Amino acid sequence: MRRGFSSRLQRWGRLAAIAAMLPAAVGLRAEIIDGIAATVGAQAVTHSEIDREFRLVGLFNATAADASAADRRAALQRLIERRLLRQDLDQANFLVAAPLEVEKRLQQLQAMRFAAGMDFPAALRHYGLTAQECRDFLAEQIGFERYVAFRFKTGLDASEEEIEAYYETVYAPQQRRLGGAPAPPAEVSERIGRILIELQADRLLEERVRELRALTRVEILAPELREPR
Amino acid sequence: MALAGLSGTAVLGSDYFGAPVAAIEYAPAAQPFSAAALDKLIQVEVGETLDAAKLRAAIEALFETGRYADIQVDARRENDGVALTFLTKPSWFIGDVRVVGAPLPPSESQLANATDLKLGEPFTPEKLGLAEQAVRRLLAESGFRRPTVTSAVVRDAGAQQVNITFTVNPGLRARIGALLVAGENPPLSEEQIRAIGGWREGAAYRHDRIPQGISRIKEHFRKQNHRRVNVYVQTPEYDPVENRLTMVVRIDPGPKIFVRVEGAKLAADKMRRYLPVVEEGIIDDDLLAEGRNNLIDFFQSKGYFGVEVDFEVERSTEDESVVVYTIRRGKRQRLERIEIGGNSFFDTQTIRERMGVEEAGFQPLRGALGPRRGRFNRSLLANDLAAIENLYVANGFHDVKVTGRVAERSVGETGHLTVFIEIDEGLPTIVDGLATAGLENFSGSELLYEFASAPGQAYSAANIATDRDLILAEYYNAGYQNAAFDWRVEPTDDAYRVTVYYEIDEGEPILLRKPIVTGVQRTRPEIVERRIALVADTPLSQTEMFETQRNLYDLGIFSKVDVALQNPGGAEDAKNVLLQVEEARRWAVGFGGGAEFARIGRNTAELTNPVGNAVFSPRATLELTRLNMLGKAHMMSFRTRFSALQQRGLFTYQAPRWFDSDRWALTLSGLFDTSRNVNTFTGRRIEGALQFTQQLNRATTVLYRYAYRRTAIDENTLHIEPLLVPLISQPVRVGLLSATYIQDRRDNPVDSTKGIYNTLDLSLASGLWGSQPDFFRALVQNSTYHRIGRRSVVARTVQLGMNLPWADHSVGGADARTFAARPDPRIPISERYFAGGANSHRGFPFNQAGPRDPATGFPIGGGSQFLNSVELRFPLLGVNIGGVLFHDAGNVYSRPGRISLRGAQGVRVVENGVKEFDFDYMVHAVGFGIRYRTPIGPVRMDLAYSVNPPRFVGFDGTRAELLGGAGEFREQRINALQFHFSLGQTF
Repeated sequence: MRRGFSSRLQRWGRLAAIAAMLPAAVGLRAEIIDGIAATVGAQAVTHSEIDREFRLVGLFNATAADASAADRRAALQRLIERRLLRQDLDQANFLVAAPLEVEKRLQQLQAMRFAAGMDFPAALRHYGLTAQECRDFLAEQIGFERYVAFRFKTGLDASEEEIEAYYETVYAPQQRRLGGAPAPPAEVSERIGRILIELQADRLLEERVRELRALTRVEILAPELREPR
Repeated sequence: MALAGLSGTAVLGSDYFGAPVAAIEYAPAAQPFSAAALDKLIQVEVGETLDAAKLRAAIEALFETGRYADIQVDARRENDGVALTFLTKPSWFIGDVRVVGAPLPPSESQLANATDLKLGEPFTPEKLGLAEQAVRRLLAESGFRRPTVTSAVVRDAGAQQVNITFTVNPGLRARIGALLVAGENPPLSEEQIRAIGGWREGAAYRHDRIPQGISRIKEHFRKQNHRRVNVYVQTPEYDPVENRLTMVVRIDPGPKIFVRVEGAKLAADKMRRYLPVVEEGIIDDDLLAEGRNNLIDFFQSKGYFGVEVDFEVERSTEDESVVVYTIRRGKRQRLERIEIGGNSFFDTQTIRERMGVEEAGFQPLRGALGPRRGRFNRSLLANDLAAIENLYVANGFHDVKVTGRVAERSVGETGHLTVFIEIDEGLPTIVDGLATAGLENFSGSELLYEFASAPGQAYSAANIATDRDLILAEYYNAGYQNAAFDWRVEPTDDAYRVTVYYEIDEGEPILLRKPIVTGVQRTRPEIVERRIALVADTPLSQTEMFETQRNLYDLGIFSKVDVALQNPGGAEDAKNVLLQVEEARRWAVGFGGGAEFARIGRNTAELTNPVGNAVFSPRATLELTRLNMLGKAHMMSFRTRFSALQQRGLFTYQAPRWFDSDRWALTLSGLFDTSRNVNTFTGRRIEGALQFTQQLNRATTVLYRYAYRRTAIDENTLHIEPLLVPLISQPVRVGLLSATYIQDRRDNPVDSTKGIYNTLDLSLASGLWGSQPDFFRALVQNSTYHRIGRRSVVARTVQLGMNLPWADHSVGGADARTFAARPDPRIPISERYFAGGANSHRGFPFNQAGPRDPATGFPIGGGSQFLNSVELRFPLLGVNIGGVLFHDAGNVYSRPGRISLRGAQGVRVVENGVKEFDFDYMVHAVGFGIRYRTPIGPVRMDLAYSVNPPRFVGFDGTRAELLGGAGEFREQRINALQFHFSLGQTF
């Protein structure tokens, strides 16, 4: 199954590796400790943000902070998309996450990620992050989830025909490939319906990002972060 | 515990973070912000611990100002701390954009607009590329298929601005080549399309000719009831060898649509005007219903207040449709009266101004087809009742009740209606107290007196909205672009009194960094700088921006003045204001041709008919103007006019804003004029003048003038007593020092409806400044305008003028005659008063008032004049045609002491039964005129009837016959009926 755009937003960690030091991103001058990597309209994306992105993703997904150039480019693209969508979010205060919600989400993640008695403060030190940076990251994530739900999922539905087609063309073959027998349609139809709605929302979100990209000047200043031709 | 599977990594710049900041520097050293402003932006201070998040925030804050294209931060160890250097690259903004080499059409302005490079916006190389493409595209659309377009970008580092010049070499304009007709069974052949569209083979291809041709083709089919015609034109092929464009034309004439009106007659032009289906050819319910409503409005305006209109699509096929409107006009009615009662807070006139229902009668009409029988229907009345109610509610009368009823009585076949409107106002809700909060920079007391919701005033949403607009306008003008207004209201113990609270969030003001002017090429910079009302480091005021723009336009040397903020999206505390000007062409040459039609005497020795004959003369004019002389916004012009009646050359040098003051202007002029505007003679005048104009205030102007002229009269054209010709025809030099006071409080000088206009002109001619005759001249005028009702005006004017000579009494200054006095001979004939005609006394032909030569009967001018005019100006038909009833009284009198209000002309018989007439009496004329309003003032036609036109003795014959005793003296009279055609109101 194709991974959805909103799913990617929710699970940035699974898409990125831990950021390494960015000698290439800051040019060859080792003394440069931060700077603009890309511009999105009137906003800047800094090298340190890309660096932090890797660390946060690494923290929550237990991945290494080292990253290839391709990973860094992908991370930058995610940050650019978030900057673009920020234009929509800034117009809707109700999307902002409350501190209690953030705290709850942090505890959930700690419970999942560090359930086996792992030390969260030690992990923060290891990744060079602070608890506040984690909270800010999660607050932003909650805001985006709400935005997707409010703007794109409202009113979406999957018809019987669509569920049936998905079962026949995607779900059942996938189960067979994995060596199992597909569950009867009645058992999985609700889950397939949710997947289809997610997919529709992803398409709408991607369309919105394309619209915003067309309206906003995006320039990647660091040559190594540009997509190779 | 250890984190399995993960390796620790160093945070970017971690070697430096946590160390104290030892120094902060910027490279390059020259930054768009001051050191203090930079400190405020980055919020990182020397001595504090370097923090990654704060540094990131600093970079973002700097970038969000819009002033930087790139920012990197360099760190180095220094004295146990870390020295930071912000390495910056500036961003650039669009400044002056101009195009040279435009083929016309398109013009340089059109091409510059096509670039879509907006003043003050961020500049990027991509925008430049798109702009070049846009210029090429517009050139291609205009027939230039092989243009070269290059751009030169000049950077102004101080202003972070790029000025861009596009150089266009359009090449040859393509010609229209082959014309291919697309589609099956085209309704027109190639030849027909070329003929109708005006697309002749070999003609220059111009983009504007395509829509013109399409319109003509559409009109061709509309005449055949094809009302939805589509014509597509493409030019897909270009032949570079022949430089020709192939045109592909496809015509879809659409179905024929017949529209029929039953039950009443409706002319074709009205069908087109009122029924959208006729014009647009689209049959849908909305458009058909719009047509029905238009017809209802039209017939109601004709008095059919109960008219009903239905429509149906009788037949509709692919090729043909028939739409039928059925009209049932019903009984014709007349809205005789509107009775409004119960109103005391608003007067009846105020209420009526808000009503759509109108009484019948002679009143201002809505368009040429206004409601002579009034305007009425039930829904219109319901709307009016609601409008009246809203008016009261908006002014605090929340309990108001407005009811209406209609009474009808029949007179013959016509129903006469009376509408009764009863208003129960109720008690108004009053503002008991007004409290303001947040007005920090503008004290409440300063504004309070202007608040519509001040204590004691009515409480209403409309008043609060007025206050909101007032407050926010004040703030915006003072640079507080983010000011916000909120309000709430709380009840008091009294049910009809409330307390209003205004809360203002002022926000931070945006300051003006500096004004930046571009586009000035020949004008001296100080001329522009002095016109800039914007002051650096003060709050950015929109009013001052508009004032600066107006000031620059007022210089008269710029064809375009654009004002914009630089970096409008940037988060800066202070903004640059860009003033991009385009200097107008300095040289202007104008040619003109026309004809003069005047009632002027023949320029011969013929003395018959002193009143003059209608004379026609072709006229040619040439005007040469040079703007912006010496780059100082001075103007020089030379105007010539040549006709059989007048040969004139006028040179003028104008220096407005003399001494760099808006209140002073200097004008130098030189004139050569030979004209026959007075029947009696042809004068040749050479004059030089120097004039200072002082604007005391908006309404008051004073002119100080010295004029020196030499006037010579062609003795062959002097139609007076032959014995006096050698004396009167002597050239005379007149030097006049004069001062004129002008007070103008009219609402519209071209067509005044209220106000006052006063002038006082005092002149002194003396030998001390080169004048041969010595005399004093005074001319005073007072005009007032009073509005009567909504669109009628009473206008009146009185004018009194006199010449008072002194010295050289031997010439005959004192006049002992008590009957038929003569003008003082010490005043040259060219300096005397002449009056009569369209712009003075309409009971006379042009310049025919006043004393006449006793031998020839020709007017010889007078020593004084008195004119009084009263006009009633009223609407006649539609908004553009008005009528005038007028009364003119007055005359030109021989001498100041001879001004008389006597209405009868004196006459006495001298020897041999010859009569002698006295011209010192008041001539009265009444009349009617029509005014047609145009953008340059009303076109005027007046028909005057003179109650007591002067009689005089003239001579039938030539001057030789007069000298020889031949010919015949004959009593004559100015025609009582005079017709005048002119432009502009009389006064």
